[in-house]
Amino acid sequence: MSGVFITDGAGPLGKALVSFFEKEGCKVATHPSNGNTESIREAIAAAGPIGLLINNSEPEFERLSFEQINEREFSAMVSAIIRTAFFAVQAVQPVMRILGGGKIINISSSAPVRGMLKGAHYTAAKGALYSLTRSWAQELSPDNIRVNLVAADVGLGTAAEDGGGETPFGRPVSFQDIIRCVEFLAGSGGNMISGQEIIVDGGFTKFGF
Amino acid sequence: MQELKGHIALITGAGGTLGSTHARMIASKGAHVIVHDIKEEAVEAVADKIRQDGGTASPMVCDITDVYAVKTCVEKFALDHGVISILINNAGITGNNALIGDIDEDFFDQMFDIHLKGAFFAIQAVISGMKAAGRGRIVNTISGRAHSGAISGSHYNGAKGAIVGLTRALASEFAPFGITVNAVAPGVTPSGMTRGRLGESGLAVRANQLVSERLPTPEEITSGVMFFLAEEAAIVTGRVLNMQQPRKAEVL
Repeated sequence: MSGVFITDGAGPLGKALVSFFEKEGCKVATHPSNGNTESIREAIAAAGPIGLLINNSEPEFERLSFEQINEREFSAMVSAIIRTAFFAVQAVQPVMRILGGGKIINISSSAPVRGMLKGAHYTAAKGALYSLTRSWAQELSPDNIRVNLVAADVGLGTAAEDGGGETPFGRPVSFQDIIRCVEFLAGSGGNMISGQEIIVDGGFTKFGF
Repeated sequence: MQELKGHIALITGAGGTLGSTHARMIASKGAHVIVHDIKEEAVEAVADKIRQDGGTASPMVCDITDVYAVKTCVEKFALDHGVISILINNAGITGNNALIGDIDEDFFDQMFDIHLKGAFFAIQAVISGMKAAGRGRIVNTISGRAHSGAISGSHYNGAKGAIVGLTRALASEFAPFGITVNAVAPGVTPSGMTRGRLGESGLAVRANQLVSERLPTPEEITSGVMFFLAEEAAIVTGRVLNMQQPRKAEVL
């Protein structure tokens, strides 16, 4: 595999992803998920050949009720999650086109599927990634680029009281579980998969009560 | 039939084809309609039409991305007339078939500001009134493209997808207050916006891609909105009514 570019490489999942791909022998470059388009462009240009872009964003946020979310907090969330991913894809498309193809994996959350109390801005921004995945899958297919989404549970790696931890299999989803799914899509297993979303939650989202 | 009598409904972007059709239908069911748009002439024309048809309407002219202006307009209206119990987030613009490489930051911001930020803060402006009243209906407008993707306009599709997430989150958050939050996802419908983007010939091509070989009318999309407004739909929340029709290409 050629180079891997990971946004929010300093986030908890981001760190685990960086470490995994480095151990695999990939050249890994990262950028904060700060929505700074100019610096994202520069970082991608400086990274050399990129075969895999992982749009990861793990913004820390206060669990505010809807009425408490102000314009600044709303815009920061849109910037971290949507703007960072959007302009990373924009910058990486010509690179992957020259390389003859590539893969893009958007890391989202199960929140837009499950619903979330006190996190409407986060849920909305992560929801955008679902639609962007389907759109980019179509638009970038002539460039031989596959685009998929891997959703982690909110509160991944944290205690059950924050919404993470609960799965039908009696153990929480781990970073390794997410990484195995990313590895599959990034590898040849994902060669004919595009525009799809995989929610790594032990089945919770698809189970009834 | 006056099943929405006693309600006050705010329809954003009601100067356009779909918004004005929603506004007129909602007014015809007895609700007082606040006709919002950024274009004053369009607001006046739609409000006049509603009055001619025997309904009541008030104008609201402001930029939906101006959070303070929307809040001020809604608060002033509530003081003068009463609490808004129905909000239809309809204001939107076209992604204009833009490819990702051609979407600059200004177009990106405009797209997310009008659709996502506009809907988010319009809801915030009306929500305290709805909570106090113990009832409310919020219907967001997304697009079939949020589900099926498209070969272009990913900023538009992304903004619409964000509204799916918003709809889901707020449905949970407002469920204890008798307020439902849902969304309709129209397929391509003849309107000022789609005519501008596709032209008459483009609309004909789209119609021919459908098994039915016809596009919906604006009134048929409004029927989806009306479903969510019904008293009987009180437990339907957090849902998207996808009004895309089956396409010839997807049928096996």
